[in-house]
Amino acid sequence: MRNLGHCISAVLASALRNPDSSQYHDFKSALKSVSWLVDFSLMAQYRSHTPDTLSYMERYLQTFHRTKDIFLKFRTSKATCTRADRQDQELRELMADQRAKDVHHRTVANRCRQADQERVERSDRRANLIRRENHFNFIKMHYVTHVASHVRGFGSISMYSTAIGELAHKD
Amino acid sequence: MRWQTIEALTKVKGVIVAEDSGMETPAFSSHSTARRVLKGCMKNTSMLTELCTTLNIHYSDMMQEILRFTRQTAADDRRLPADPTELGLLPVEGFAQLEIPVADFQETDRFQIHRARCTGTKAFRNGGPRNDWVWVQTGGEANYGDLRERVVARLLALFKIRNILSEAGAVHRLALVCILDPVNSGRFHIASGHIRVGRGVNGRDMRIVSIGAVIGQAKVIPSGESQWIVNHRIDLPTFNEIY
Repeated sequence: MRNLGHCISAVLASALRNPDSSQYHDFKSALKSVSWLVDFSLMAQYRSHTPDTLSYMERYLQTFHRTKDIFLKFRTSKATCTRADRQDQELRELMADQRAKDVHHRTVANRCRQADQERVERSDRRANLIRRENHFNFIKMHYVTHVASHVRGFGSISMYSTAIGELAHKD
Repeated sequence: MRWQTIEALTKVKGVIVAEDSGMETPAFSSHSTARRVLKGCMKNTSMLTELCTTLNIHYSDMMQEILRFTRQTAADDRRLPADPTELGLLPVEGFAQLEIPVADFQETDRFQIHRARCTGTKAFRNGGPRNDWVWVQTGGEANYGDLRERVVARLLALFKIRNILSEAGAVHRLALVCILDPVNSGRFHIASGHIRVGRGVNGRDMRIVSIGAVIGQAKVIPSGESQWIVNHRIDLPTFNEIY
């Protein structure tokens, strides 16, 4: 993460430099989210802290948590995908049954409109399910919330780094 | 980058360079500040014409920039001659590397050595030519917004020129750089949160600066045609100076 953090923000800014109108908001959120996390990571590497730097760190983390939902759809597990596919299939069959009952009473234009509405509804339900099932509740995401209080209690975290010990185990 | 303490840096033998002027002092004295070191002496660069040929730089451009630099320096016996003919006869040495000690963040007695390379048109280690990006301190010439009086520049030549016509025989250690102009007056781009730099449209972009004005290596990432994004999150010192 440390080496990735040195360049990811600028590389992302370069890669997402020309968004169209539909992408602009998402790209901006993604850039902001990554930037705040990198800023937090850099500030956590300080060898000494002041109350100001700790408050900056907390603010960076809060802003990251507010904007991180843009990456939520990329945290879909296989089980959630399977459940979403199953739900999609069931809905498709249900809608096909309803369509078969009153197909003789509708014009071609009405049928097209109804097909579009069904597609949108299926897509919305799939998105809702994924949003409901996905989360960032994992241990690494939780640990970073304790960094500021750890520094207040025990000092800078750089002296607890395990990098040197890990390096000694390399062949 | 290699970590060095100030004691290790003061043990470097050879030339002694004044930190702010980039001028070599011929006397033997102990100098306790961290100093920039030119390395990788190029062959066949004993005069300005030869240096320009080796690095594929127009001689007229180089001469024009040296004269401009000379006019901006203090008029003393160390100053380079203002006559192009005399200037062309002065002995020159070209170099391929500049070692810049950069004070570590929150550790004033430790330095990171930035090795800025400038190979001109020659290949670097069987790859393409390497002319690194550096930070150049402008010293109040312009504010440059959030860049805080510093600009991004590409190294085009590193050389030493000895003023044999003066009694002091001072050696000037200079760098020819191509300076990039900050986009939006050096302010952060709102959407991306980065500062962008680009080639100037009309103004001159090549400049001669003393190596004392080169304050570290810059990291930029290409963003479209003739624009670059400044990566200010590359290390802690840069992160704390540009915000």
